Amino acid sequence: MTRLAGRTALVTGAASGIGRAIACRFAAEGALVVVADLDDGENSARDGGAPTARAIAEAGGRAIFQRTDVTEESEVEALFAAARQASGRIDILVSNAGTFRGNPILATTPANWDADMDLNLRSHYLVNRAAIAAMAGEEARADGIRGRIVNMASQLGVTAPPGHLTYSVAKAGIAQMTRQLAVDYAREGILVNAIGPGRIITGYHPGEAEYVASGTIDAATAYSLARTPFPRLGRPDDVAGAALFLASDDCTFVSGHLLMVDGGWTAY
Amino acid sequence: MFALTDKIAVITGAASGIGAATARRFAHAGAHVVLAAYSPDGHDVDRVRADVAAAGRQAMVVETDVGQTPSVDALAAAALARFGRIDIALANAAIARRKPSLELDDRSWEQTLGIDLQGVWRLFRAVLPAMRDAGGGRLLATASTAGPFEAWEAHVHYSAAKAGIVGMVRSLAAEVGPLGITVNAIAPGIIETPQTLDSVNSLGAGGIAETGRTQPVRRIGKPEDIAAAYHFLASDDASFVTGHTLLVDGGRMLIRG
Repeated sequence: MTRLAGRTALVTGAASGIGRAIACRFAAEGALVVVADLDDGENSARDGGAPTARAIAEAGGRAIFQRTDVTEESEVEALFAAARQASGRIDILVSNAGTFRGNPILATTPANWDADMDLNLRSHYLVNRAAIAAMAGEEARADGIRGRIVNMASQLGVTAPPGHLTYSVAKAGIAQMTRQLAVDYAREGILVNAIGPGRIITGYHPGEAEYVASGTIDAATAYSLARTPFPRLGRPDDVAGAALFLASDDCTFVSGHLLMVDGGWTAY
Repeated sequence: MFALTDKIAVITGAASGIGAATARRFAHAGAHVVLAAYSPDGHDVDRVRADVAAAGRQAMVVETDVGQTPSVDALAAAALARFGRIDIALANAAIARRKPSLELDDRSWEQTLGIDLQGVWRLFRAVLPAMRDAGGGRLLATASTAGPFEAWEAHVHYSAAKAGIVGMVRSLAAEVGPLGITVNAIAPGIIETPQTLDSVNSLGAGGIAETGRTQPVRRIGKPEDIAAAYHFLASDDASFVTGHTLLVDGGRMLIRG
């Protein structure tokens, strides 16, 4: 498949889970993938940015890994510099890096509010700002498009997950940033969209590893399964398929949209 | 996977505009296409049939009035008789009739709702048993920004129908999700089609050109923009997307301009 042939895609949080699935899918579609993650993989047998890039290369794709803390402006600048050096042009950004954490308001402090917002909202701002600066300076392609951005929001930015204040506020913020940037840069040919994943089994959250390995289901996973109209929970590849549409030449007239990939959770 | 190799797709309103573009797109992706068309509209479905055939796929034209239950049931039966299954059903046929609300009588209301809303339901209902028996399928419908997301003066009936599709898609997705069937809609913004080019009942050429200048992307849409999004929703890449209405409007609803 060659739907992203000749394109360069930068994917943050690509060491594992959804980000890794996106990086691998985009590479399989012909993109040069810039894998960005804080985790370089030195301490893990399977996760990490370097292992993701290696897996892509072993499958015949092209990828480079740049260890990046997306909460640090200087590291985001270094990431984009490395991407430019590798390819000369950034066509696609998938701003995916983030961590599921949050507390009820009385369990938060101003300090951990700031820390959570730095990680799950401000980092997306930094990466989007750098991407738009890079894309706006490029020649438009034949279809008038200079670049496509896909931001990872969440079902939990549309619903209100009990006890996860900072997470849901940050994810709602990502969706609104997506709308704002879509309006502000449509004229420049930059399409900005977001994905709202539902319960995606990445194997990293409590109970998921056992569910994946043996089908043993804990209470939280069982609830998610019961609550999702589709007869299974999500997979990282489900999100990768949606991200591919939004990043591909088939996305021509969609901008500012929050595409839910949730098996019907928010519809129900 | 993105390919639709040997999938069977039924599309209503397939003779023109979004339906015709989607039929061509599906055929190029490998699907065989059942083209439901209503000949009194005067669109040339034979050109669409020829394009599907030129893509090396099978095309079947079925004269269909989506306002009549027996006609839609016969469409589904004909598709099943020919191909044995239906993987994708796109309820796309619709009419738009300008009617100031003080003149909107029962007949006008019932005609538009009967085609634009009940027509969608007739197709979904007709294909659901086959999809249930097959263990899955894709139900798709063309909604609109007008109704669920924005106002359109003198089109209260059309707006009610299109908003109704969004609600139908949500509730049906919840109900048939356990059967492995996904249900989604696209809400197109301003797309250049025979319908929008009708200056009596819609914007007309001048109106859509003016609208294009005020939209974030500075152009109006083409049927192919919608067809590409339908291709995604019909493919395995959208396996976990259901109950969703995908806006394909060039960002129009963000500024309501």
